[in-house]
Amino acid sequence: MYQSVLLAADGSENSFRAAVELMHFIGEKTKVTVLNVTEIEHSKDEVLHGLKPANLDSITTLFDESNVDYNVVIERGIPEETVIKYANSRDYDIITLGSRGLNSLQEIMMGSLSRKVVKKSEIPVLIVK
Amino acid sequence: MLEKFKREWLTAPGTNILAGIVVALALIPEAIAFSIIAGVDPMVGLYASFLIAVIISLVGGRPAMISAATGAVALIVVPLVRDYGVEYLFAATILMGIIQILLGIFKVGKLLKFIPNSVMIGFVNALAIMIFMAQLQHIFGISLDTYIYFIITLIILYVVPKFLRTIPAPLIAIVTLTAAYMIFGAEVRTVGDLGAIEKSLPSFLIPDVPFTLETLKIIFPYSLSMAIVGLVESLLTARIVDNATDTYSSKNRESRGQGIANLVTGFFGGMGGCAMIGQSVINVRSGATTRLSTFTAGFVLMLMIIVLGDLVVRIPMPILAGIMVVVTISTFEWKTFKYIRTAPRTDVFVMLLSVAIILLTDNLAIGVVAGVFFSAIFFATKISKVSVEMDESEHHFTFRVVGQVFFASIDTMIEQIEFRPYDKHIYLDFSQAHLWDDSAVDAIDTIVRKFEDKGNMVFVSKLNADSRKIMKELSELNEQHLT
Repeated sequence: MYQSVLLAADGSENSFRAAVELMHFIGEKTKVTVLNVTEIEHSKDEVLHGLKPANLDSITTLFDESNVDYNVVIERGIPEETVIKYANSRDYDIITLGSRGLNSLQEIMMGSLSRKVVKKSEIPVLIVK
Repeated sequence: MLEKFKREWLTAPGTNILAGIVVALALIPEAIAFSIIAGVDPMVGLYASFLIAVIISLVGGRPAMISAATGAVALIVVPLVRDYGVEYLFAATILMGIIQILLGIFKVGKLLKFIPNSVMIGFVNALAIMIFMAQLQHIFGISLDTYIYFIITLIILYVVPKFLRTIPAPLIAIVTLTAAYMIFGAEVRTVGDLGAIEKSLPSFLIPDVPFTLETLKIIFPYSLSMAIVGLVESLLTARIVDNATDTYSSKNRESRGQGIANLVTGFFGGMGGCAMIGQSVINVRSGATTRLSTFTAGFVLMLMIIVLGDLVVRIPMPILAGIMVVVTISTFEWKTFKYIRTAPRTDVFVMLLSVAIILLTDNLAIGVVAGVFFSAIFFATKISKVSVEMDESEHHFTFRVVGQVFFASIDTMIEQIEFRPYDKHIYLDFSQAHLWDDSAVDAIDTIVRKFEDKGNMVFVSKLNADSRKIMKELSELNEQHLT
């Protein structure tokens, strides 16, 4: 049973699925950190278009209902680096994240956050599709 | 004091220096392109970018924000350079700096909050459109080779970043295609065809203009527009960087810093500039957080000019045009189309109007001012909706006024009241209203009088503290009317 889990979430369907999957392998005492990293382009849209920060409500509601011991952290920066930095700075057993669901052409174009995290992580990573 | 210095300069030096280098490389083509837009020697834009970046890193208010010669300011000075020459541009830049310093001292940074988002979006989009259009003359109607170089540049700019993130694609495009040009030759125009490049450091010079009122009259409108546009873009960019780094910056300090940077730059043969959204985003994305990144960008830029100055003249124009086309396409806020569908109609109207006015007048400053003006009118219209509800009870009639009472809403208020004899006392209930100006007080006096003319007894009641205060000061009613 994992003691502490880092869930990298962006408020999307995929990250919600990751949260759901996460419930399968945690125990009552497991501590979960929900980490959302806002990148600078999003900041620009927040200022200009009044875009709201990512909505993690679906995840927090799920965790509330299931009595999961969790906390939410919002950071700003480059997503893949910040996730790794955060994971390394504390004692996490595993990183969980949803895959963005890009097809292979899009992956060449945009690069995959989950793949970058897998490459640089020093602890197990679970990617939920 | 020392703590602040350490935080703003010495944190993560490696990352910040690297970020600055990346920015410098990306700045070179832009500075040259903006000089050409303004109709001046590429050196003017390059000197300006070096000076502005370095000076701002020292005196600006927003660490990690990149300021340099910009398209926004370049677009404004086109007529000035065309009709009067580059010396007038330097004089205008100096005056622009002075105006910005004054605006900073008078805490005009606060005025930024009166520029609504809709106008900002209009500004950014119109800027992108105008820079895009300025490139067309370097692409079309010249030669087949021009098209070829242009298209290859576009291809490089889209494909390379997928594979190589560390070296900016524009640099790769410039290096490879200029090399190709030098080896194979082609029928294209180069930067050198549009101006000479001097590989030396800028030197102090007093602009060669007559020191008369005449000159002042010529440059003042330009300087004012440059100052406004420069501050609008700089303060907007500062907000974005604040948001992205979760830190606060002083907008007034930034204004003063912009002013100082432009003032000095004018004396050293540079054109005016301001903060750049695109470059600041690149900087922050590369991990920059300190003033060192901005300083490095300017410093490295100058280094590159000195070292590579000769080669810069050989760069074919279609390459720069291609780079600028890609820059403008990414500067344009594509989310605007979603905005048009989802935002309130008046906001969308103001945004489109700002864009239209900027494009029609060819002037960013006029568009911003017009946008702010219309947005204020719309706002006043929206909050001038006042309603009056009438209630009858056993002992009196109550007219409850709901909303903001000021010059724009008094007509609506008065229209909703029927002035006739009532058989009970009349109470005007202002518990859900606020009186703002002398027109409001005037209107209430008028209402009371019109009721009394029909033989009614009227009482003005439940004014809040501020409303009561101006009623006491300005109203001609007797104390007995106020309860």
